[in-house]
Amino acid sequence: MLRYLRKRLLIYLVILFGVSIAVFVLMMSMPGDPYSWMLMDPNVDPAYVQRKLDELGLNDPIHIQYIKWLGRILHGDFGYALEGQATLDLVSQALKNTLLLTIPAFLLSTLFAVLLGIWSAMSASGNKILDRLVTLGTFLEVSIPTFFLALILIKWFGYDLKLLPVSGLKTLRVHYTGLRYVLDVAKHMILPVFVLTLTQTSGMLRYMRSAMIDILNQDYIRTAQAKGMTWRRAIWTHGLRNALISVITVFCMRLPGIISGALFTETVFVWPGIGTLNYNSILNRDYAVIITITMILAMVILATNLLADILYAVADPRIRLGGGAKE
Amino acid sequence: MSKFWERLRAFHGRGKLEGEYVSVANLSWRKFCRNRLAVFSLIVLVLIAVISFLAPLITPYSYSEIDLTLARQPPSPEHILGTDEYGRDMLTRLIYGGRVSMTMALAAMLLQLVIGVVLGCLAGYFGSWVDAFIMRLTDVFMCFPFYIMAVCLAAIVEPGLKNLVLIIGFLSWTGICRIVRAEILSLKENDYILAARSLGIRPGAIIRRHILPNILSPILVAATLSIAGGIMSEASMSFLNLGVRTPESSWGNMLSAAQSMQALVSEWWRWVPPGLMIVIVVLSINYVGEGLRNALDPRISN
Repeated sequence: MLRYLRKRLLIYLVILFGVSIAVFVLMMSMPGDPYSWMLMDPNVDPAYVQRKLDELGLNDPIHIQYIKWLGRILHGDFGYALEGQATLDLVSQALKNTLLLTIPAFLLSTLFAVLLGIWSAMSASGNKILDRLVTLGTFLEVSIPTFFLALILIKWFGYDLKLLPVSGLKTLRVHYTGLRYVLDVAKHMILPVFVLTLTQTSGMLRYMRSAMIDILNQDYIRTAQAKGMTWRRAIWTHGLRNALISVITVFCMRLPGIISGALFTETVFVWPGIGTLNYNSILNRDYAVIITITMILAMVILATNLLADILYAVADPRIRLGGGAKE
Repeated sequence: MSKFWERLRAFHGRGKLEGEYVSVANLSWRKFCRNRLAVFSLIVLVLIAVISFLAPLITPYSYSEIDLTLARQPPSPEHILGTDEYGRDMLTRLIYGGRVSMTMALAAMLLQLVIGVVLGCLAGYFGSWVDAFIMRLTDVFMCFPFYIMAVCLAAIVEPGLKNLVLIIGFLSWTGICRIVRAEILSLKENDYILAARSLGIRPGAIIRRHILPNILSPILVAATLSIAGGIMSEASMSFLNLGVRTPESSWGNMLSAAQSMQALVSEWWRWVPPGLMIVIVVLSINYVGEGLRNALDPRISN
């Protein structure tokens, strides 16, 4: 276990180094510097601008600039947004809002996928209609752009039926407190969480269904029946436990989606999360924020990947004992 | 004459001729033809592609000419799908948009195919540090969510048709690369590869002659599915005005009309048709891909 983890950790450090280089290259190719606008002004001495650039280290050789930048990042200094806040604060606030959407959606979609997957697999041999419907549903779902689905829901529930709020996290210009505030936020969450749940269910559902169909044909299900168990009971007690290994695999693969899965949904519902922040920063050409988002997201995704590796090793003794044969 | 029909039936997977030799490709085609849904999807796709590419012959209107007197008209016999805010015929823009969206998706697919197959072959065949380097490179790429990185790059380079293709291709090759690598890893232990190596055939030739033909089917399936991905990416980016710009039309940038509340609530013809087209085309591609996967898998026979 330790040997496996040490090996994974080493690989993650290498990847993190690669990520930092990628982000740095991205940052260097963003147009403009903080003082270029001054050069347009005839009253400003070009030598002064040069001196300022020197002070900021923008005239250093590129590898020196990279090391300095890395040093600042390691100290948690990601720079400042155009409006003056530290970008790290902006991003961590947005990340909290994103998690408010993605965690419920993640849990709900996992639950639906497991239940529907088992149900659909069980009916694949008998009642084919249900299985066909589930298969059609998953295909439809991967083929519909998230934002198109979101727009249709906004039109129906927001404007035609006037049932649910369609944008933002809370009602503007009204200051609820306590329970009413929670209810207000919850009401705003319904549509985006619904869209997210729907878009995240299908992948896992398909996986679950095929894993379950494999299990239904295993000998131990027949053995359990031979010893007097009903088919249904054999599946729920023996089959499900074996299916859980593949559930954990997919669960782990989807973990990074908690962070990055809601980008588009957020933009359409104007939810003040990472996706919206990213889009608005692009519109305002606020490069410091964009770079911070990219870097933080990459780091968080890397961390969730590591977590997935650990969960995987805990669940599957072959990896834990084999010392990382997965590589 | 009846012989001819019998052959045609056999070619499309209905029955088999007496003592007939069937090649692998032919066999796969027959298996594919037995999947009605996949065949129907393929026909739909071909139909949409033909209509899109014959666009100038089909519609009398121009996709870019502005006539404000005709703005925002609901569907009518002259304009079957109404007009947009500049008075351009929506059906015309839909057809031309299909041309742009599908060409872009194809181009992006080719680009990611080239990058993915080349890197995947290098990693899988040569192993050791080449493999380690390329795999870490894909890991780095996979650390960035596609949409965040694509938006970032679109902010650096000018948005537009060509750059969007480059961005999509540049960011989505990792999947194909991993598939190719995994296939080669399991393939290269075979005796015929060893034989070719011991005959002194150069690695390039071994990969081209002996390896690539054997892993063609997973590549084909992945390429098909990546066209669907390309259409989705194009639509998403253009929806945010970071892709195809007006007056050029694409399904994505037509959908961005729905960002205005008036169009969203009361002018359905300005955003529902392009959305439906995306759903239909992507769904069909997915069904064709699934059909291909089953047809090319020798373990599945029916």
